[in-house]
Amino acid sequence: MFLAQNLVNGVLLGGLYVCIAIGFSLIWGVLNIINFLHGSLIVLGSYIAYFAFVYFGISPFIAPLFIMPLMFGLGYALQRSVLNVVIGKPVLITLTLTFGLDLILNNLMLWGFTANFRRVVFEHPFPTFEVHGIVIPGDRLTAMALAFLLTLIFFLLLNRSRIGRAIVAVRNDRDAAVLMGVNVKQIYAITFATGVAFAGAAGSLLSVVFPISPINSGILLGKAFVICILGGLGSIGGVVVGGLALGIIESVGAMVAGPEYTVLISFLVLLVVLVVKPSGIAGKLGYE
Amino acid sequence: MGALLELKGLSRRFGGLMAVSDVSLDIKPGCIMGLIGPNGAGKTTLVNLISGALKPNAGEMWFKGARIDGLPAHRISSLGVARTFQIVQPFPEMTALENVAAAAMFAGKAKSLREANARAEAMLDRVGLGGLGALAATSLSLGQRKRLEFAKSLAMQPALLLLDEVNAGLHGGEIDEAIALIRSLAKDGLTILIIEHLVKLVVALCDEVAVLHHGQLIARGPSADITNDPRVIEAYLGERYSKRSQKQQPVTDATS
Amino acid sequence: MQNAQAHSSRRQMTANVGFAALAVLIVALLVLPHYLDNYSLRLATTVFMYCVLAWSWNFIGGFVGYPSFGIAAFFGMGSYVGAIMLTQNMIPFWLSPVCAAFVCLVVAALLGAPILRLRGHYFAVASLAIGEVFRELAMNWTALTGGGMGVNLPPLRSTFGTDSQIFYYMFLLLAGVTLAVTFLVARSRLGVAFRCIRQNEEAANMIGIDATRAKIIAFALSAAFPGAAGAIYASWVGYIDPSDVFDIIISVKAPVMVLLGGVGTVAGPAVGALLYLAFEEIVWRNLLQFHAAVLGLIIVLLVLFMPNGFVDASRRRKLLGRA
Repeated sequence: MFLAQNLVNGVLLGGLYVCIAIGFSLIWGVLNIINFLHGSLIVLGSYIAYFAFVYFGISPFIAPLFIMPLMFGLGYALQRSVLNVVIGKPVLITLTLTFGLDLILNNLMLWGFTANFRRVVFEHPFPTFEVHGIVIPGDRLTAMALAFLLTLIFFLLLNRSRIGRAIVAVRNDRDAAVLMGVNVKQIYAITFATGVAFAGAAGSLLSVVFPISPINSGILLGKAFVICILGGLGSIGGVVVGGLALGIIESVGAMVAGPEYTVLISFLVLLVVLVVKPSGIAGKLGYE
Repeated sequence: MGALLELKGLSRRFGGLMAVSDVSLDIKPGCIMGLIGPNGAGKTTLVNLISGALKPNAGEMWFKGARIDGLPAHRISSLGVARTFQIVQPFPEMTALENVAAAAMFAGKAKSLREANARAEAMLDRVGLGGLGALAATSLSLGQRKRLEFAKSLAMQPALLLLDEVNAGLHGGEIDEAIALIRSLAKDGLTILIIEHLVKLVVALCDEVAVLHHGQLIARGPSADITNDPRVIEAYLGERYSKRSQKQQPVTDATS
Repeated sequence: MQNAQAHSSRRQMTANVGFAALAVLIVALLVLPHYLDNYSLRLATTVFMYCVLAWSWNFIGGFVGYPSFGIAAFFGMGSYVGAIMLTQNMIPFWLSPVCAAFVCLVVAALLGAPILRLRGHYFAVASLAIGEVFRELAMNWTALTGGGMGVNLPPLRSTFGTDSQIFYYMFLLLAGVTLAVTFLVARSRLGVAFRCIRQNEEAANMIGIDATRAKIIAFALSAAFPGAAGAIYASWVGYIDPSDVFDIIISVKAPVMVLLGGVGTVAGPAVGALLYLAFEEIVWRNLLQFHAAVLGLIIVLLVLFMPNGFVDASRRRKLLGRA
């Protein structure tokens, strides 16, 4: 019974985690950039959702509707101005650059919002369901459902729209894409912007479930890493598998060893996967 | 003395494809053996297996009487097997001399930096790049870079030299020079296995020829016989030509 | 003939001048503590520590070209090894960096074997993950490490001089050792092997270089010296905790310093360390609240505008020491 509850918790969490990692995976897979900013961008999304909720009463479940375009613009500007310079440069350069950018963003958020944890508290709390003795909080369920919806939208965008096809083309074979008339620079910018938009959306959904603070960026980034490696880069299916897997690993791990061990466990899993099968569960090996 | 290199039932697959399938071959010391076959026959894979860049899925490799299959590439190089690459890969930030000296230093077992440099100079001379040692390796022309590959291989003091399409991208004059160099190397006692597309060259240069097709060794023997072999012609040109050749003159230039 | 002679005697002269300058520098560094106040002494000591971290990273990141983000993992490990052994009175103080270096060397050699099969991003992530795992272990293994409460170390109280002076000399010595090893490696066969691996690992294997072994050595070297530095650091500051000594920013500082000064050279990392500390001090004094952001800005500007650092490519070959 206890195990079952934890498994369910894991799935609920995992669904949310998928949303965390989608943008990260896209940027890594297409631009070959590990976006150290990712965690902070999620936190930024959370803050925007929080303030929208506190000042305008907009539910964080609805907030993605305007957060995503906003963050899309931010991401686009950032890529065209700064990140474009390092496309194709060695890992060291791109990692260090995004790390430096993250330092800036994180520090600004710490200064602007302080490290105090904020919580989104609903006036009328969401109902809690009980199925066969397993407790399912309504807010988490809704967050998970929306996360999956966003993932579905993402999948459709990537596979059905012209821009999406172009992005996939660039991911699979950049040079061929150029030959086919794809404006690669533009695609890179749009891809990065999309990744940032989804980070913002994830942040919005997360704000319902977790407390918000810039201190969390590192943890969120770490989760994104683990999900992508665990599930495998290069496919949405991989992110879904990775996200659910991490959710379950964390829940069961917390049950077995205690919640303070979840970070250790997830990074150990990361290392083991890297050593044994770097392409992950569903994986095609990403760029090296 | 027995064979220098013995391959017994060597196989290698990639996913569902058998790139090299049950190949058994031996090469006597001092021989120049040609390795031909249509595109995709598995020639480069076979060379990769021999040099240790790939590990075989099945079979054995024996070199100088000792088993070498499963050994890492650097070990096989140190034992006396050198190879050139179809797409030349010098160390881009080093000079020509440094490139060759590095080879002398490691697989070539030079005892000191001075010895390595001296041998490097000698090898550059040997391949016709004497005096160009101080140039950056990337500034050399394609023909010069191919010769640099030769020099690096020779600096390793190999017993067996694997040449992978040394003539790709070279023009007529350069090809003649390459042939002359290979001939002189063989005369010095080097055993050579050469992958080559130009059958005319293979016939001219090689004592023996082995033919691969779809990863399998379909023919092996003196070069003159091979070009008349119906199986070989069939592999390159298909059944129709094979039948035709059996009725009339053999096709001497069966390029794919 | 005459030209060659003139050229070689000119080189001899340059070498002599170089040696003389180096001797003067060494003497200056040795007597400096008598002329500096405590604050400046602390700055100088920090420079030496940063030099150690930068040179260490240079082995695996600069020479071999594998972008490691694992310096913090071993700095932290060394800190804890030193701290634990000292607080349990297992060894005298001067032995703690040696023990720490040894432990880090061995652990890095063991961990290196599997993760050095990875390239590029995957290797970078793996090296980062090692640091995170170590930090979490230190956090949770309370019995051994004191967990989040950290470890307090006893002050030195030595008869040889003030504490500040002793730590100055210890870090100076460590920096000297690290530099010596860097220099020796750069001019050795191993150094040539490193360079070959960085430029073309497949070709390196083909000419008889055991790339796996060479990489493991580089990785172990890049762990041993930060380990020693961590141990000395623990005694120096008197208190360590996991989020301090395993801080990921240490892992980023090292490559940034090397980038600042020039990758793959011998002098570059030291130049970078000096510059970085200068920036850091200015920022700390004036912009404490935005400390991290300004450092981030420096990193961004560096990467965008000066990816080759200050020590440029043509000087690079001489300083690397032709093998």
